[in-house]
Amino acid sequence: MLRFLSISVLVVLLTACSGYRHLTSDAGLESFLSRSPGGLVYKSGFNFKAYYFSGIMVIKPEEESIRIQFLSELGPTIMDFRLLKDKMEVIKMIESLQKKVFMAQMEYDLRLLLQAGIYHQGKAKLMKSERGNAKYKIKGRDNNIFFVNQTSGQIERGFRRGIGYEKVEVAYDYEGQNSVPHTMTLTHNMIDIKLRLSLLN
Amino acid sequence: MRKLSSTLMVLLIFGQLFAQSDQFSVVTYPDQLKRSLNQMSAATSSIQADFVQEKYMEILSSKLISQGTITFKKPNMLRWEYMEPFSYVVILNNNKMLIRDDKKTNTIDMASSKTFQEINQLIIGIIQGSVLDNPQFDIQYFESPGNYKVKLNSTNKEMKAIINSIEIIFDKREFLVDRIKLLEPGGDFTNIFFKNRRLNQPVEDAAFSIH
Repeated sequence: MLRFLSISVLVVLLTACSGYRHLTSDAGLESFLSRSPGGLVYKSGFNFKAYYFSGIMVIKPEEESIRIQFLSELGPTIMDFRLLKDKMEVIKMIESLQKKVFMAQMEYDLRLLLQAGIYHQGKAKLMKSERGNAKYKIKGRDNNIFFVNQTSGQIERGFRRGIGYEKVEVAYDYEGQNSVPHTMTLTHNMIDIKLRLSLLN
Repeated sequence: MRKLSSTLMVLLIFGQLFAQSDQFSVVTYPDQLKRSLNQMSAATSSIQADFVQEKYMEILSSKLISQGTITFKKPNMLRWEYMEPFSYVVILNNNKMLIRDDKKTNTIDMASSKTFQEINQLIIGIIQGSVLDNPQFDIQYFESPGNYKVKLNSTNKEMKAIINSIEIIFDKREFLVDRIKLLEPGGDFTNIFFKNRRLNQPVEDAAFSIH
């Protein structure tokens, strides 16, 4: 019985891992951050129920991480963190916002929004490819799905599933053939949360 | 105690060196300067100006530049408006604050929040000059041949985590604010330069409408 169980677990694990390939630059799936080494600046608007907050989001790809800073329009940096392959490192954050649930939610949202699994060259599996569109599943801490326009190479949307029916989606809009999204919109289906970013530089 | 004195001495020497490198030296007549700034503030009923804001960040090779206009009317009405590269307006009118980001509008009743009241007092205080009496800051005065610099060191723990100190640089002849510098703990800073300043011109209350 124990032997059967061990073999079954092994089979399931091997099946689950099959088809995943480490992302390389010629895989046809590239994060927009890889093409913006100098960093990107977005105007951001965040809706949570009846509340609305805005600011500036600065994103800087680093060798093994993604640095993210949220600034007030008036200048000062309110939040500063580093998104690594397997964790999020807080550099600066208002004490009252340092709540475990809030931080975890933010980490997973940022991983999806910034295509962190692709940037960190995790493992990707081509799920489907038809009529010039491909669907990829990124394996790793985030487990996100992305849809790529194979003609332009642009990632047009993505999503991740959370607990139960929770689904978080992100849509990317581009100006022409530009490889950097002009706007990015992240929405939650279970909570009234929406984040919208518009490119400034 | 001796260690503390030595540390203070080192800090004072370095503070003096930095002050000199910026061509500013410590003012030896702070009470007189404070009185002059207060007199100027008392004689000002309105201020209108254009501003250019430059944010310097360690992680970016170029500075972030934004610009807009500022309108202040006594006793406590302020309109701070960004026009480039985005549209963003903050209006303070008595105990109400309005924030308009593109087409989204938020109205906040500051009377219900101590934090917002403090922010209100701080912003109006910097514009009007009454910040010199704010107990949340340890204040130092410097001068150069053409300017006075008032350095406000935050003593509030929460505020200190965001802004270490605020420097207000005044024109020595007219006591008008030339520049505000916001210094952050990590070394990043924001400079706000004011130009085309107009004092005591009539300003309609409609500019500060919250609706």
